[in-house]
Amino acid sequence: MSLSMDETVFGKKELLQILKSVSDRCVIIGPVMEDEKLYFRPVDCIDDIVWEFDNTVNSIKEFFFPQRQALYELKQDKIRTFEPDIEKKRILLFPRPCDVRAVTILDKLFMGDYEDRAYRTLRENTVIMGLSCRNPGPRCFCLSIGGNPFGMEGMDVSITALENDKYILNTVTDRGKVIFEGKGKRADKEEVQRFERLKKQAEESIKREIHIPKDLLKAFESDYWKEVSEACLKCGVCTYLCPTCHCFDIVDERFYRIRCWDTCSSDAFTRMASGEDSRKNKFKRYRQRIYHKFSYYKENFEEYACVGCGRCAQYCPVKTDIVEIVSTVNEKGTP
Amino acid sequence: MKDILVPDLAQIKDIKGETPDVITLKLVFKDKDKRDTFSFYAGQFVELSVPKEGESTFCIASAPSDKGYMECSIKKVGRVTEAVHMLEPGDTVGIRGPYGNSFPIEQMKGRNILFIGGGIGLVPLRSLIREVLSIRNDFKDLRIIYGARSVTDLVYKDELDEWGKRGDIKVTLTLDPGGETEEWKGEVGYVPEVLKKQTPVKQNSIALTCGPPVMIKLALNALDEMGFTPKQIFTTLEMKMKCGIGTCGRCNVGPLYVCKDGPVFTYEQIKGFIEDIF
Repeated sequence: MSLSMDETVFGKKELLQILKSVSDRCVIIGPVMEDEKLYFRPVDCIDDIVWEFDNTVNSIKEFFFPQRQALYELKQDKIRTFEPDIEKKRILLFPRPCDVRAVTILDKLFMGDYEDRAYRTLRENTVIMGLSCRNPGPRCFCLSIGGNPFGMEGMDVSITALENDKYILNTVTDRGKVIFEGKGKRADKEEVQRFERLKKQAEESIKREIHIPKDLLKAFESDYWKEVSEACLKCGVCTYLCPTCHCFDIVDERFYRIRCWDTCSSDAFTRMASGEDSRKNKFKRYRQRIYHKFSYYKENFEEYACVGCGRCAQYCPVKTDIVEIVSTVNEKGTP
Repeated sequence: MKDILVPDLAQIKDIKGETPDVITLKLVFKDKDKRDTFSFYAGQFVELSVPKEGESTFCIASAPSDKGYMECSIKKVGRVTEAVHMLEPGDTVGIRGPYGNSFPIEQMKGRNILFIGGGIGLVPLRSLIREVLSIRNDFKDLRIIYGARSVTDLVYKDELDEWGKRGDIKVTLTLDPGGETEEWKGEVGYVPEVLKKQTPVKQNSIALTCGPPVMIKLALNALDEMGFTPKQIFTTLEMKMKCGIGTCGRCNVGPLYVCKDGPVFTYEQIKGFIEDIF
């Protein structure tokens, strides 16, 4: 996506000032350091926000699809529902294009055939100001799965660092425009060219590519899945950190009915009370994850449930690499 | 806007013991509007919940033509179902639904229908059988093959007796070897074997099956061997599910969600994923 002509340029100080001026009306969520690692968190002090980084440990999905969420209270004769806490609007600051795109992929599920009210409320309540990825990490592969390090899909505002103290803003939606209206300086030709140059550089710096076979289902019965899942510890970190993984459980805690994240790698995931389990083996559960992302989701929603952020490979304790596994299915997996 | 995940309250009007571990609940929605507007098709399911214990998936056991109430037959196997078995008439449960697709009743009209059930798997078929019998003349020959582990494990015994006496539907009951008593007059043998012995006519027929996974798998094989085409065979599947609406990510069979695209499938649809289902 290239820039149209209504881009504006801001200094860091000006941007900070604008953010500070809205911060009493809004909750600002941004990348901050916690235990020496970078996480998206609601920000207490705007100066704590980190402006340059590779990517955060967590994705932004938890701000729309929380890890734990009380849906309602069910007592013998009464149901009490809970509204999500939306007293203040939220600004989600500096998520990467891949993570924002992941939210648009989740939209198709949670705001599709059946609408998830809690999800929609949080979506509508949040302005997303994304940050272009000038230096993609070594495990990134967004380009080969339909994304772009400078992509703006799903953003209200796209922010790109042109140089140390200069940021170019593209206001994609009206609610993004409102915040910056009449502020900043219109980008000149040189700045727009610099943006294009940086975009090209970022694209060229991505070395990893995923190759998704069109006929993935052919390899469904292959022993390949046993081999590639052998080392899996079933810890679920790939699913929890994945910006598109969305499988959940609904459990009762006293009178509260809670929705919480779940992981398809757990051996209790599909086990029924009777003991019957359609995915008894580890390889079936691993295969489910791959097929859900690269076959079933695509078939149902016309998108892969993967944006190429690389977190699963980065944080997997046994270094399972989704790019390699998917890309070599044809070579090693088809009988 | 009503939240799709929030249930409506229903009161238990009656509880009937079917077997030592299966009861049938007769349920009526507490809200009058809900009571008046609730409708469903045979084969659909609901999410039934018990306060403090949780929510589980149950198919509707009564027929759409049974107006004013809904029945669910529930076997005691885990946390939620054990809690259900502790409930008494007058108690309240939560109900979400109905969800899922249904049996192809229009397609079944004018044809011979073969119902093949095992154990608690008779429940969804019972909804359909009641519906079919309410418009009996729309169908040709009707045949039920139903089996359970033992005499005490047969559900809907009174109804099976009634159906057997009607004369316009052939009912064959069978028990697993060793489950029979001295007075037992039905067959002895597993359902798929009894099915093979009966050699039902396959022309202009539809076969529908539900039961334990191993029974379904063998019944599908048997029907296949007998020459039923995969499009003539329907089964209703059970998988662990939480949401019932295609979002929680557990119940899929390949790209098909049991909750949303099912629970009723043709053999044609699921043939490629048999290994992933059973």
